[in-house]
Amino acid sequence: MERHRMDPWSLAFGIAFVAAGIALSVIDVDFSHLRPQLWWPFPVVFVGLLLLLVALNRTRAHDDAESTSKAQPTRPT
Amino acid sequence: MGGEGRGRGDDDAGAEDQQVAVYPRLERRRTERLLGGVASGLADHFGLDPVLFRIGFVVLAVFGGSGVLLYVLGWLLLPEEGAGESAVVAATRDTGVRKLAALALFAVALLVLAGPVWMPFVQAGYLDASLLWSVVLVALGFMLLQGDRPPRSTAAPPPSPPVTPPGTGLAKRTTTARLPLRRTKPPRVRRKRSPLVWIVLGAMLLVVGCGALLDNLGLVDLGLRVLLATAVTVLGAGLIVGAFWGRARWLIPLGILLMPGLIFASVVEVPLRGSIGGHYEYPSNAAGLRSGYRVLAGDLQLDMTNFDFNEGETIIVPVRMIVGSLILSVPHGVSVEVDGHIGAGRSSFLGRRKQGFELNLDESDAKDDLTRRMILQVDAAFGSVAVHRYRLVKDLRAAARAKRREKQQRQEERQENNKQKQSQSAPNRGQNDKRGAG
Repeated sequence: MERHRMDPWSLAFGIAFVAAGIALSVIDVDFSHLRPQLWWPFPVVFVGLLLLLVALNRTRAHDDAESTSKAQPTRPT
Repeated sequence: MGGEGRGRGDDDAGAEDQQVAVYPRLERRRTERLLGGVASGLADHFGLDPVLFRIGFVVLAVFGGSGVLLYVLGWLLLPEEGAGESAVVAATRDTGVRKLAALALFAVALLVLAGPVWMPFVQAGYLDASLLWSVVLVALGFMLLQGDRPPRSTAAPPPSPPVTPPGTGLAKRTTTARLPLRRTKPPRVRRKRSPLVWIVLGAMLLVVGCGALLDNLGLVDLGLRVLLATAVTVLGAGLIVGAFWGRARWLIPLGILLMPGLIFASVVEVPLRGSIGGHYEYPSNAAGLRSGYRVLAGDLQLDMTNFDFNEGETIIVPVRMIVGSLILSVPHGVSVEVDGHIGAGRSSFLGRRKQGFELNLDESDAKDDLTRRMILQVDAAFGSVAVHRYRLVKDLRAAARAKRREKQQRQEERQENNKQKQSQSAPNRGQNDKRGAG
């Protein structure tokens, strides 16, 4: 396995799955008592996390591209 | 200088142009093929994705079966990569069979095409599958006849030496021998497949399998909720690793598929063990009674009418049920209590009925004079729970005998009374008769 640029989708879903798995295995959540006002923040948090990671990834890619172009030697005229 | 730089770029572009081959020859691919390489060969030739041709073959095969026939024809008529000639051409080489076959195909095709003309009963707007087939036959005949020609070379023509006048690179651009513009197939860059998906899937199955095994052996009590949660956790950990090392995006849809099951298992405590189908239990003593009953799906009828209750004894029967019905039959002379809840369904306790969601069962018919008790602890997700009280046949017979005996005794007493009355009334009657005569 080779190191590559951060994949925001894998990271976001990975964090969501780990959180859900740990929460539901440790805490005995009674979904029947969870009202809608307690449900809706979860998808909002997930979408926010995903957007944040995508933005971070793009910013880093842009910075990498800029640093690469600066690092290229220019021919003396 | 800038001019030198541009010239070098043009050199690269020229080299790329020269690497561009002519239309790839229509032939079956030898590598990276699924079956005979027909679809991939067609895709190479037309510069399209092989998946499109594969889908086309499958669709045609499903709707009418022509896809199979076309594929077989393609396999027979298209030469394999590097072979030069097709299987049919190779089989009929240096014989007149091929030309005869081609002529026959042409004749058939012409007959089909001319069908509307010579078949007066066919409507003028004749346009259906036979027309398509005729066109296909014509094309096949063409291909057969083309087999006479030597195969085209797939190699690119040798590059003409570029005439580079000293000076600018722009001049070089104008004098470079231009190859005809042809469709090029971008080189397929295959990303090296990451083993991370398989590693994560293997780890997930290993963890879940070991957990289920321990649960089934009775060493731990995990339940489906914990196992699914563990699977999702392992999968999520694999995705986090895959975000930086390797690639494991295929795990995302798998995790999304697992989540509804995990939520369901959280709502309903699903045991990993339990019976499926109908079961009838008829215990007669404590040894025949299990410590607990588990029903995954099905019916459980627990008949306690023949159970030998001791005086002052309390029997507790826990039942966990996912989907199904539970019927408890208790005898007379035993007080019964039901404690537990039903996620969705109905209950019937000695005639008192309830139904709905999240039913809390807290029923009792305890009486002071009944010292024998039975407690049913129910935890059911979906289904029904019913408690009936039955009298045994032998008890019924004994009761009937007792009733008959009572009735008989009452009759005997009545007869005795009548006799006594008659005996008392007999002397009085004699005295009255004497008085009447005097």
